[in-house]
Amino acid sequence: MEAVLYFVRYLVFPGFLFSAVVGLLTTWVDRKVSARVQLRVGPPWYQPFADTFKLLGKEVVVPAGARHTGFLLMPVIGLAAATLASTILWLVNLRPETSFVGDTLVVLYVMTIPALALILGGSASGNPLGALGSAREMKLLFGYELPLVIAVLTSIVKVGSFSFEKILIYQEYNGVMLGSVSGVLAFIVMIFCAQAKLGFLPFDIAEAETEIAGGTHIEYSGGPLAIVRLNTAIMYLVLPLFIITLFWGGVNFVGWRILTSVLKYVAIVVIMVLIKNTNPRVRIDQAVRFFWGPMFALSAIAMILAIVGY
Amino acid sequence: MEREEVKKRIAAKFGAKVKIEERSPRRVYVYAENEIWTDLARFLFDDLDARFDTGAAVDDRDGVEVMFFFPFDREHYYVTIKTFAAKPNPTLNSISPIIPGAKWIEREMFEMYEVNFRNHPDLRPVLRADTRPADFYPAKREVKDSHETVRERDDGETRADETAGRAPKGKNP
Amino acid sequence: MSLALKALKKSPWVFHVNTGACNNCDIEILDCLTPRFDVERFGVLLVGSIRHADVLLISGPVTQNILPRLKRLYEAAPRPIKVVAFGACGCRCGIFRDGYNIVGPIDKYIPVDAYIPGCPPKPETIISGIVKVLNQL
Repeated sequence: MEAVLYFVRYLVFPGFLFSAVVGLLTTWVDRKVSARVQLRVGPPWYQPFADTFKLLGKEVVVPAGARHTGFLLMPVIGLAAATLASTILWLVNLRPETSFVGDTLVVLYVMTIPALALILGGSASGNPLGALGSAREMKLLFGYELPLVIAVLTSIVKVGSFSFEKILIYQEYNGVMLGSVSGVLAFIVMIFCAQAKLGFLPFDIAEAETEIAGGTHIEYSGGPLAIVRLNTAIMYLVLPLFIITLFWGGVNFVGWRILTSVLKYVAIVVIMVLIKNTNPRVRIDQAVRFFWGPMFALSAIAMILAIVGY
Repeated sequence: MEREEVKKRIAAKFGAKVKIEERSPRRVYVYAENEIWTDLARFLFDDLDARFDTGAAVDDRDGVEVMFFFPFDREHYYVTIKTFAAKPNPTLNSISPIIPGAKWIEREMFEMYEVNFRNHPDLRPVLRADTRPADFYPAKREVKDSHETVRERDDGETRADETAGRAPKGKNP
Repeated sequence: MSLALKALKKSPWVFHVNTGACNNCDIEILDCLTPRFDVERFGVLLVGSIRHADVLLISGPVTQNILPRLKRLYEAAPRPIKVVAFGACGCRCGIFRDGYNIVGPIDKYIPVDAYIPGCPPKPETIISGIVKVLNQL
């Protein structure tokens, strides 16, 4: 019976089906807000679903020079990891008793797997532009993982525990992390690292459309392309949720708190969309310098302030 | 450098081998002989500190007229140097040992008009497709005068049909 | 009509190739994405790779240099693909008809599904052409 429950949780709610639907709706919010900011109308609400279903009906082309199995397997591995992260995060928010010690670290590790799957898939595609996109994604990964981990550790250090449940309980009693100076600094660092993790401007070097014709995505078509885009959509759901859980008190579906939870989520998504629309693409060396310079300094300051007690 | 001074200095250095004309407020034309071509280019580029812009060529039936454009940006005028490479076998000294930026425009002049440039480090066609024969020079007057194009026109269409508004007769070529 | 086909009508992704045109048609394609005409509300996106494309938008008369690459692009596109010949040059070579390296209009080498004439076509014409292509599905 327990096994069936786990399957349902992983595949339906809050796992694959729920995360996919809500993630795709988030990409729609992204495109609509971008369009409005550019004084356009923007696509209707069912656009991401139309994209996905259309892609499922297209021919799947695997280039002759590609590693056939790796090329097709990598998006599925990324999808499994993203779904896992989403499931854990939703469960600890809705039912805090499912949390366990160390689940912050588990989610942190699992969240890197979609990026790794993209790197491996891009280099397995047999296309030199795909390999170029992979190399850039690797360098970007080296760049943003450092401030990301330190920012996450800021919240953990303040609470003194590696478990989401303790973090949420701490924020219940002592006010959200955003109320303290170290929380605000770490929040800013997390927003930029999330921007890079999702591959949005100004850090979308790995899948630059006009520059390297799609980078890691270049040879994917049909179903695998739908899965690759679904990975981005589910990570679009996971990362703001991760930030909210660590710094903003988590989401809650009890009474009025549904409204505030949705508003928190939409606020973070809108911040990321606005950053995406107002910035040009930076070069890879500028991006790495940005993450190892100002962002690392900011997160280190936040960590020190958290240890000291601010 | 002011225009009058540039004209004086060019005339002083090269004397009878150049003819300087000024056709509009912003253009100075210098007609030069083939022997002093590179010296004139070096004089303009190094001594007078002009910028090298680009080049152009025209096939007048007796030979190919080659021109290079040297703007003086601060004073807003161009100095164009022209020379006439006579047919058959139009040959000219290349200015790319002095101005490396002229390499490609000279290659294009070679590929279009078959103007041979002496001392050019790498004289081969720059835009020609690989499937073309080696002696395909499309802008030469002999080629153009005989109206040879790659596409065969076997559809019975003429220009007069198009301009008079009649429908095309043949299938889409 | 299957779900995938219905979805294809709502989200045609366009890949654009310039086979020797004067670039005016390319600028008009960019025009369609501006706020005044905004084809993104129909789901049209300009994609960077031919593998992601549903509509292959070809402008320009075909020059000899690009001919083998154009054929390879058409073969590389995942089916179903719709080919649209764009501009007067795409339809019948336009003013470049007597050029020394023009080897013919597009439909001499690739089966074309729709023609959008004009030099350059107005954005309204372009949108009407897109609608005609989608109605063919």
